[in-house]
Amino acid sequence: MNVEIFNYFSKFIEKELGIVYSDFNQFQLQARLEEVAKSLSLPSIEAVYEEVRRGMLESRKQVLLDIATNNETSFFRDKSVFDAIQAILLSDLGKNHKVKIWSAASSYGQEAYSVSMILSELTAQGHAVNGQILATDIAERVLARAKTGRFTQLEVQRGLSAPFMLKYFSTDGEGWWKINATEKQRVSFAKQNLRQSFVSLGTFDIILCRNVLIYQSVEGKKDVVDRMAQILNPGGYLILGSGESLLGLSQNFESKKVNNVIVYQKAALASKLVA
Amino acid sequence: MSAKKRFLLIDDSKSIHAFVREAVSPLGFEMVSVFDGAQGVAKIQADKNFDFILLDWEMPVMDGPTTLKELVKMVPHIPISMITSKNSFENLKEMITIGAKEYIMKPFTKDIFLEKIQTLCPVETKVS
Repeated sequence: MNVEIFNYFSKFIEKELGIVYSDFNQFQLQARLEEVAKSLSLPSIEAVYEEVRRGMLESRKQVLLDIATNNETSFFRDKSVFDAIQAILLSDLGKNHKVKIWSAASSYGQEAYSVSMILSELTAQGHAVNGQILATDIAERVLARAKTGRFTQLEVQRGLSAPFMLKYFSTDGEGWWKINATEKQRVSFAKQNLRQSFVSLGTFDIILCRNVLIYQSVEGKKDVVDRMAQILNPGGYLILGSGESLLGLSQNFESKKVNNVIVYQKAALASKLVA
Repeated sequence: MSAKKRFLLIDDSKSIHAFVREAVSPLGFEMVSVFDGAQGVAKIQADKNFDFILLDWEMPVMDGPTTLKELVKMVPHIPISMITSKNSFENLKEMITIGAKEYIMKPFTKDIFLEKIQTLCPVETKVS
């Protein structure tokens, strides 16, 4: 892929999604564009570029945006974070109240379904905790898969112990592992571009936005975090990826350590923010 | 028991032995290889000094489920994972019911394999 093509697609993706591809992850973009070419039955990245240059960008836009996003994830990715989520669910936040959780950039739903499994575990242990999870992603093909609650053998093995696979999944005879109805019913899915308004999503007690902001520019990060603060209930939590921080990005949160995981709690005084 | 972690691999596939040996080499584990269930049972009779056991399903002489039943009786404290291409829910349920702690379905990737090993034998845990 030559510089002209790389620059064209990286600028397009940054403009649409805020995801920054630069020299260090050029190979990642190249791999994704090769996937775009394959899915459009075109022989090469150059052929995709030619089509787009001929004015076919709009018709190819969704495929490009779907594939440009990163769908690599697993169940209970970074187990310590889920221990922290469990502790938060058992705190005052979860008392006499249906906890509303948003899994932003949810990919195939592993994060959302993991939280749902935690809720089931807590319920089985006798805790009166209830929750509802919204999982969003920009990519339509990813959401379509996520809604089915079906996972491949490789996906289901990533992050799930055998007893959990047994407890929360069944097989359908075609090689798919399907999450059980109780855990599926707690999760709903919607298309959401993180660059666009969150107001229609409602308000939340916990927002999971892990390993998403790393692809955004600093200004993009600030914008997303500010708008997340606006739809987070007072005392609610924003949880980022283990390598991410709000340092220098927002004044709306207080960092706290829960089970050795840094989480960001929205100050109660910040509740007057207008969504 | 020494601080170096040891495990027993019971599998008739030499390529699995080669894969596992290569995958765990950075972890400094000692791998002991046998190639059927009867050899596995005999090995455990002679030496119970293992941190975990990996066990194939389909093998000559003594198959995985029969071997698992024997090993669970002999060394109930040692975690055992099946490593198999028998991939149905019923297969999984049967083995967990007998006493397997984990279940690695083939094909798998190196990252999945290492994650399962970590479940069986956390690297932070000091073996006394």
